[in-house]
Amino acid sequence: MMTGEQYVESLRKLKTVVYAFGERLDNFVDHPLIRPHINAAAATYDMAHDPEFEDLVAATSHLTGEKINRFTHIHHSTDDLIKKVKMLRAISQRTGSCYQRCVGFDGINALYSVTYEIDQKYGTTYHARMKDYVLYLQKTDKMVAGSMTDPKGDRSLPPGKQADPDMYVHIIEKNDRGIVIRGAKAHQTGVVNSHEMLIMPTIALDEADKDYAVACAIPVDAPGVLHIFGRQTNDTRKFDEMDQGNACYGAVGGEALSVLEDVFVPWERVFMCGEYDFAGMLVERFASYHRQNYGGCKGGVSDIVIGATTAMAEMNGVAKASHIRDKVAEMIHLAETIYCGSLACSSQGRALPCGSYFVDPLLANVTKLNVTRNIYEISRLSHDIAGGLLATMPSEQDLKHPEIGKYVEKYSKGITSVPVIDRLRMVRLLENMTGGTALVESMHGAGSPQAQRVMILRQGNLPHKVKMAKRLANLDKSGNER
Amino acid sequence: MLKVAVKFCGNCNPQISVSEILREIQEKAAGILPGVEFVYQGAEEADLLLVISGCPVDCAERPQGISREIVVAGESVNYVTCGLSGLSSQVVNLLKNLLNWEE
Repeated sequence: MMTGEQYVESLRKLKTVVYAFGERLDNFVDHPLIRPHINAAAATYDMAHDPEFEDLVAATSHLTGEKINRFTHIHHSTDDLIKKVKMLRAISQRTGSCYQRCVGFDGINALYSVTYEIDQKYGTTYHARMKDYVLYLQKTDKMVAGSMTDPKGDRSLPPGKQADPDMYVHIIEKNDRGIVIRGAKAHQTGVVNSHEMLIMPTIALDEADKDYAVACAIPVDAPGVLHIFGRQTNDTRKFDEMDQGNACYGAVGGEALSVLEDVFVPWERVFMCGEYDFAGMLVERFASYHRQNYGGCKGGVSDIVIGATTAMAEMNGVAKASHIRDKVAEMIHLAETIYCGSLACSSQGRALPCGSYFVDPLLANVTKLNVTRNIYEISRLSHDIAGGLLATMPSEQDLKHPEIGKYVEKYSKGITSVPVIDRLRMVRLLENMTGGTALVESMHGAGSPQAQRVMILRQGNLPHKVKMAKRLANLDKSGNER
Repeated sequence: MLKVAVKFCGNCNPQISVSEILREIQEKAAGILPGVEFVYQGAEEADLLLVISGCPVDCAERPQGISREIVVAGESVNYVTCGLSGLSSQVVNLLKNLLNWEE
């Protein structure tokens, strides 16, 4: 297992092409826009070595019996699924931010099972390749970006009917050595500071779109790959210190648009090539694993938000007011509710044909849908309690200004026992964790709410509910009243 | 001599500071139990497992091969509530009894 420092140094050896603010970054590893996200990912490496956390962040490989980082593990029990959720909460409590590594973790688990089932139907050898790839990841402890989301163009049209065929990643050539793919992957969490991209289709496909049914792994610095780092709200604050709020770990994951311009993939890293009838299964597996996460990671992030809000109430002198305590209780209730969902879908997990374990997809989707609401409400309550200073506080430079700094300090005072700088730092932490990009991520990360509703309706066993209602209402089988 | 293997739960949402509790135990034991050695690795060669879990769920995975254990789980020792301030003293008392029994 790598340490955090070894992980950071390993990134320096890559030739990753990264653009931001209209420039190609010569040294993305130390760039202020990106370094906080690297620090957050590094925590997943360091915590696997820390005796306090290793019970969750390390695991035992089912392939070798060796100790590995859990982010490279294939779940083989409901206990594994539960530990994943607990691990995410523990790391979030440490970073207060996204550490990005769960996406690739979910990708390898989804593909591990789906490749087995493709092989069962078509006699292919994808699962053996996938096993080799998992073994490679476990031995090298490389970070994988789960690359599913295509740009999608006109959402009303399937991939093959788009005006531009590159709106979805597709195979443009096959030869005896491998395949060549073209397209792009959007909203790629942590991709610039990963080692590998795991490419997967983003929607269910039919036969006409079989060239879009492609799953494969490529290095992030493979020829033809470039990454355009996405802007976040307040991202120029990364060039400051206090005004960042969470200067060490940043906010959310550091997303990018990854362009794949005729990228060669050798056959040993191809895990789906034209088996369009398994694209939907892969999307559902990946999405369910990923939606499982959110009560863990957002639960842990919410713990920090609740702590910061409570600290703000104390610094403002209102912590004992009954309405404040009531609102804090509501925030805890909302955070623990999403955590309950993640634990529930894990405890109700089941074995798949290949022997790995899968979450309960209905409960996983319910969890993520709750996250799209609860995190907004937690943030709203935090804003209510913390006060308007969240939106109007002068800058770090004004606080340090030789002439006007004294006024910022004098008129930013809360209770006398707390230094002004402490109150202002807490304001910035809360502001950056509860607004802008950090908030939108709760809505659209792991899929937008409608994607969860579609899966909830599919999994919700609605005919059974109607049947039960009809029985109690004393209706006959035709639906007529008796 | 008593070799004590320390195992933490993983701390997903701890109600106590497990590292602080261990530090207290080590400080109290240092003065009165010189024969006790705390280790993180090599649990298979230890005489006793000291599990320190951050909450009463106590989900820490146990290494194989050690039958005797003392369990701190939230504000309890061996599942008996003794309050945060009493945790380390209670563990040290149990260690003392074990050492006396061994002798």
